[in-house]
This record gives sequence, structure tokens and C-alpha cells, in this order.
Amino acid sequence: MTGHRVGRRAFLGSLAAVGWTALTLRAARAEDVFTVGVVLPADAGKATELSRGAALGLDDANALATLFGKRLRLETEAAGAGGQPGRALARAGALAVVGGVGPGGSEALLQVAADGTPVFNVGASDDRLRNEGCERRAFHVMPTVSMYVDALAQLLIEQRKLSSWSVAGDGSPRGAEIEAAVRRSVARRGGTVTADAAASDVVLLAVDDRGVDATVGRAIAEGRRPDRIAGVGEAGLRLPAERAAGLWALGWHHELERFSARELNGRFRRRFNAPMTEVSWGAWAALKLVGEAVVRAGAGDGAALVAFMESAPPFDGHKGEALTFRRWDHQLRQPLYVVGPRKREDVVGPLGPFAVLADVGGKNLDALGTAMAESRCRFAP
Amino acid sequence: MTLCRVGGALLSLAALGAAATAGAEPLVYVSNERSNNVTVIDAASDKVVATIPVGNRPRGIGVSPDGRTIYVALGHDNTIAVVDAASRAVKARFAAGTDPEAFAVSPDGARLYVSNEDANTASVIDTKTGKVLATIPVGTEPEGVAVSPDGRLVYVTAETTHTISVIDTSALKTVATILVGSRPRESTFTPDGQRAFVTAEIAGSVSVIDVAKNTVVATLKLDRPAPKPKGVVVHPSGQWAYVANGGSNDVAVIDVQALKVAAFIPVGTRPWGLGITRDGKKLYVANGVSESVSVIDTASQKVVATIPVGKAPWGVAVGR
Repeated sequence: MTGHRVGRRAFLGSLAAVGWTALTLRAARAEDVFTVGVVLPADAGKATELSRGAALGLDDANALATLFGKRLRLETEAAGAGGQPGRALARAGALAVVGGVGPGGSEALLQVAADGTPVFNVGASDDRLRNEGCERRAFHVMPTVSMYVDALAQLLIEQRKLSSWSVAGDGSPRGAEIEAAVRRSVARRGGTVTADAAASDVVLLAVDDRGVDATVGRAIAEGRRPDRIAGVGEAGLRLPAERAAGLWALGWHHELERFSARELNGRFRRRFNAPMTEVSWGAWAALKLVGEAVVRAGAGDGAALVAFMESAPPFDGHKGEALTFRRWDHQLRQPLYVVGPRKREDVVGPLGPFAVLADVGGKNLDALGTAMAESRCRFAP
Repeated sequence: MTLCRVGGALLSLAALGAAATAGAEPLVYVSNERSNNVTVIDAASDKVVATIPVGNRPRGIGVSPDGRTIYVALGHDNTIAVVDAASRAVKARFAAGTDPEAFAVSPDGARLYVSNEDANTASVIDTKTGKVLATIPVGTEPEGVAVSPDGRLVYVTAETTHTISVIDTSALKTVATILVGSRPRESTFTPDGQRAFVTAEIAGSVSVIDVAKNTVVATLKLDRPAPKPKGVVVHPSGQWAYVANGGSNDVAVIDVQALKVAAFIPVGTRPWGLGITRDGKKLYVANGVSESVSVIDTASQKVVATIPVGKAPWGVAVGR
């Protein structure tokens, strides 16, 4: 797939020859323009999160790209408008497509990748997409269920010595995937998964996002301490403030401050008067990644973009570590965060009902998620 | 002409007076981010001789060329504190945008160049009046600021765009932008002004720039696990560059001619700011987590003293 470009191809070639480390400002010449497609989900709230993150990412990417005679532009497509979301964007010449948010979003995105256009998944955490469903041109910015569960296990089992877990499931496919990840992660760390919830140290929610509120409520009603309930993703953060409970593994949180996360969160809030969510961060990161590929490697087509991402360039996601895609499944290595309920008296001003309790991963980011040896995807030799 | 000579003589006397005021041995100033003060170390004894309360969240720190004034960026006060070196008291505060972090003092002492992280600009402040002379757009999330030895150029790192904005100090505008490694933090020039060294925290590397050509001529990978380089200084001889690796708790010694890392010197935890004495004999390293300063003898490349300072020491500036 060739990216949509306006400008002088000869200049691009010479620029690439110079190498990314030697680029300097060139003034007064035509811009090379690259289109990035964004597939918006039917859910209006998620679509807003995605489009906001992409907009900020576009600005940040262009703050760099325009210094070097290049520019990214966004084209959006709404899912549910008929056909397969993302394909029209790809056919129109998008250099890459960003999406994967909402039901069916990931399948559509992988089809676009299979057709030849690089895609960035910023919404789907299913491990399957990085294993038996993996596609060479798909890059996963969103963490996986396994990564989330590993983050919780690192904190609760390795650090807090809470090694006996029970699972509160709902029988949904999402719940089944979470439960499988729990069994794998707990066993790996020498813990146990027990059917006796009352005897367990921790209850892990293995439910569809829509079942989180009720399941947390039941656990609390049964006398479970709010900090001994755990789950994955942002669903728990939508609990009413007066019922805030549980420890939740996330890829981003709007109260993060270290490593210039405060500046990124601040830019997002100033622009949209809203918190930067995990999907927003993912879309921001995807746009920045594409922008860096275009500037640093002169990536003007899909093959060059894939090659750049596979070269593991150290990406700065304001998480304090160099973020790179795993070569065996194209999952972005990244620290994760565990948030938990804040004391009610501390919920004042900008501080919400959940506080960041821990960042997990540190210098061994491959301890989160599927290791190469257990991966069912094999891009790497 | 005669008047000029008289003026020159008076200036020389004033400089001598300043040196006498500050003592024969240099003083080293360390900003302590979380104890809101500056530790003063006597480089002759490597003992703490004073602690100066300055304001909230002191980070970037610099000394005027005559050694009489210390400048400290106060992130939570949105000011630059102006500290009288003799009385060790804050005598003025310059407005400096939101959350000022880093700045540099011009070689003639007349200007401060300050990065404004939230505004994506650099401000030029007149040190006599405290007034902002110019505000210059730079890259996104600007941080480290360095002035060339001749005062003609200012480099401003931008963490999000991974760039160096090159500012012409006469025209007061950006004249070039150089792409470097991911998340550039600080830069410094060699004494002859021909090369500059830029630390890239996320890339774990140091970019070496040909100043005349505005190009990166080498990228030195710091062969440590997640080194997270931050502070960088060059030895007055121009032979060595030193890089504080906040992630690997050491200082990299770079051979400037060979453009190779010659050694790593273990120091405290999360080394951040660096300062080197004018004779080049001692290198001072602020260890943010250890709450100490490591003193490195540059000849032996060994730590010869470790000095407890305030909480979260951040920057180091060497006076006269």
C-alpha cells in the first residue's frame, strides 16, 4: 500500500539517505502529506475518546513533521455505516488505519491489515488478536488481557503476598479470556486459584464490562474489602464515586504525573476539558508513532512503516521507559498502572475517586503478557 | 578610549572583588527539589557550608559569570529566584511562566534563557531588570537550555518533538531545528563551540552535533540497561564529556575526540544534574534518590566523596 503523498518524491529519497539522525530544518518548500485513517466505533463516548486522542496525536506528530516538510492528516470513518470499517480508508490511500475500538472493531481492523495497510489497534485487548489471529501489518498499542492480569499479579502476589485468588465470572467470552489469563498468571507466580471465594485473598472479576458494577456490588455485599477486589481495564472506573471499589489494571490514567505524563494529561485536558482515557492515549500514541516513522525513516508506504515499527524504535509514551513493539506479536511493550479507590475525604478538587497506586513493569516489560516462547504468533525468526 | 580603559580597570577590580567575596575556592550550589532550598558546598573541603531557602520546587540552577548571583528556577512559584551569593539571600524573583524548570545564563551574564514547558516557547530575560526581552517558539515540551561559549547560539531541547531548537541570540529567533534521540533532556557545548552533546533519555543515547552544520554527526548508545541519561557537561579541556545516567546510577565518560564511551563511574541513585569545577578537577553529581552529591575526581575517575544534601537534589552549578 502506498501512502497518499503530495510533494516531491525525489526530496523524500534524498532525505531518507541522509538518515534520521542528521535531519535539519528545511524551509520554504512543499509539504509531503500523509493520511492516517481513524475508524470510529458506534459508541459515541468511545468515538469521542478515540477522536480526541487522535486529534492531539496529530498535533504532536505535526509539531515534529512540519519542521521537516511533512504533515499528517486524519480521515475518519464511522463504523456501522455499512461495509467493513477501515477498508474505504485504506482504498483511499491511508498510510495507516487506527481503530479496534468497540464490538467487531478489531476484526475489521485486522481485515484491513490482511489487505495490506498497516493498522494500529488502540481498543481491543483480546490476546487472541496477538496469537492465533495475528497479522503482520497489525500493531497493538492497547495492552492485552494477559498484560493487565500480569500487572495485578505482580502487585498483589509478588509485592503484597496475596497469593490465593478466586474468580467471579459471568460465563461471557470476555470473562473466559480473563479467567484463562488469571490461571496462567497466578500459576506462573506460585499462587493458587481457589473456588472458595471466602477463603481467597483476592477476588478477580472475570466479567464483561457491562457486568462489572453488579459483580463488584455483590462482592462488597458479601463482605469483601474494596481493595481485595480486582479487575482489568477502565470499566471499574465508571462505578459511581460513592461506590468506588476495586483495584484496576490500566494502560493510562488521567492523574499520572511522572515522566511528563502530567504535561501530556494537562495538554489533553486543556484542549478537551476531559480526562485522557486509555483509548485516547492509544490513539495519541498511534498518531505519534506514524509521525515519527514518516520523519525519522522517511516511511511513505506500508512496507516502510512496518519496517520502522519492527526496528523497535524507542517510543516515548510519557511512561518513563522506551516503548517498543515485540517482534514476535507486535504488541507494544509498556508499563501498566494499578488504580484503586481514594479515601473519600481526599476526593477534592481535580482528584477523582480513584488514585494511581502503582506502576508495574519497570525494566522488564516482557514480564507483562505473552512471552515469545508461549506465543502462538511467529513474526520473528 | 581613555574612558574605556578606566571602565575596563573598574570592571576588573569589581571582578576581583567578587572573587574575593566568594572565596578562593569555588562554591558548588545544589538545588533540592523537595526541600525547597539550595545546598552550598565548599569545593576545597567538600563540606556543606550553607543551606539557602529559595522557594517551591527548585530545579534548574545557574551562576552568573562573576559568581555574585545564583539563579534558581522555582517550578511551583512560577519564578526564577535571584540569590545574592554573598549574603545568601533571595534578592529578587523574575516571573518565568508556568512551572519553570531549566534555563541558562549567557556568558556575559546579561540574559537568562528559560524554557517554558507548557507554552512551547523560550523566554529571554534581562538579568538587570527581570523583564522578558523576547519569547521564541521552540519544540513541544521544551526543557534543557544551553548557550554556546561565544553566546551566539542557544540550544533548547524539546522532549515531545525530540528536537533541538537553535536560537540565534542576536536575531532572537529559531534558525534551525535538529532531530535527535527520543526525549532529549539537556545539551552542552564543547569549550571551542564546535560540538554539542545532547542526552536523549528514552533513546538511551547521546547525540553529538556539529554546531556549524546543525547536523548530528554521531549517536552514542549508552550500553547500560535503561540508562536514562539526563545531565551532561564537558571538561574545560574539551577532552571529556560526562553524562549522568539516571536509570543506571552511573556517569558515562565520553572521549570527545574518539566519540566513544570510555568508562562508567558508579555514583548514587538517580544521578541527574552535573557540575564541573573551572579547573576540571572535580565533577559534582546530584543523586536525586540518594539525596546526596557524589564528588568525582576526574583524573582518577573515582568518587572521592559523597555529601548528604537536601531532598531530591536536582541541579548543580559551580560558582567562583
